[in-house]
Amino acid sequence: MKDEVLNIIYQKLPMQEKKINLLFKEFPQMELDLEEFLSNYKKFMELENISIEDIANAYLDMLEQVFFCRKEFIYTGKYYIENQNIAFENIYNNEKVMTNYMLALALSQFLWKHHYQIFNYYKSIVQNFTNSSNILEVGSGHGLFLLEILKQNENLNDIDVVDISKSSIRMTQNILKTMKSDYLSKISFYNYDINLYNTDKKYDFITMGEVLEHVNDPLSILKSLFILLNHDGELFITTCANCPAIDHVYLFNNIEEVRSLIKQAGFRIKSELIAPSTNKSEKYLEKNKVDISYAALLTK
Amino acid sequence: MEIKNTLQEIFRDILDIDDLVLDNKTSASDIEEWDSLAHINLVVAIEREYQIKFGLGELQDLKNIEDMINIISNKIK
Repeated sequence: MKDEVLNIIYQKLPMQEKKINLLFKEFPQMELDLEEFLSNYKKFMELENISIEDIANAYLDMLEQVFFCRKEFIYTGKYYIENQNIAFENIYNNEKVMTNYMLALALSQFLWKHHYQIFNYYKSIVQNFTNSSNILEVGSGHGLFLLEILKQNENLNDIDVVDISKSSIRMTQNILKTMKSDYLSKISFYNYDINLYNTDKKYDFITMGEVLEHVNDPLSILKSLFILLNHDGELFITTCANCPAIDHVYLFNNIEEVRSLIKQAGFRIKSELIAPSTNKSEKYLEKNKVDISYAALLTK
Repeated sequence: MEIKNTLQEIFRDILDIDDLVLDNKTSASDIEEWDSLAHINLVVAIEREYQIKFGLGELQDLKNIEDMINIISNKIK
């Protein structure tokens, strides 16, 4: 399955072959993980009538969008859109666009070095929660992060998901439905903006992947999560600096700006991972405004 | 020749390789640093230098230096 997807990508964008082969050489496990992901997604793809060509084309479309957005970013120093409501209307609220975008992003977890490193870091954190009984995920997207928690922690059954996108929730539900019969029964889904999510509950573990760069006021989101987190709970976040995309609105110019926001919201950084998209010198990264992914485990 | 020399300067600057020498057949597979991210930076630097814009379709045709020289010459005619 992997080769079928990759061949379509290579045929249309030969430069990807060089990049992906180098990555598979650097991370031999990446190729195996890609195959496993595709075979896990197979039933979901059948359910949603998604073909191999569809997933490859979704990825190619995303690359084209990233290319366009990065070009604009280099010219202007700004992200292409500056208002989260535009992203909501054009993407999150559009079933077809959102599904394709999520498929492409899911594939990028196994084809982009920085996404793959962040995902592995996350996996190491959610292995066998010992002190967590209830969990909140904000923005379930392609469902991969949620799935990892479920796979690693069979006994967990109090999981809430809050997502602003109905399409994203539907997609996550269908993915879980095709994976294991009892997964869905362990999760409650809430279609809310996290700042409007009202509950008395306090969570032991909160995970929020790639949300901060999608909103105009990321500090308000972090402050909301501060209230929702137990006094000894942990928050896992990922975001990125200099990472133009069709739905990114808040620009972090460097990782220090992310750290500063985290501290402003009252959190302490327990551990973190900084993953540039390419192996280059500090000087090169800064000069070319290379995108850098960031993940951190935070406490109060 | 003139375009090739200018491209060489741009490539040296963007890819950070001071002694890089380009010939017509040089392609991304010959230069490790010429990856998809660098490609975008190269395209922008070329657009700026020649005050031109590449269409999305054209960008995929920019596979080697000869392609680049041909497209640039046509645009600056």
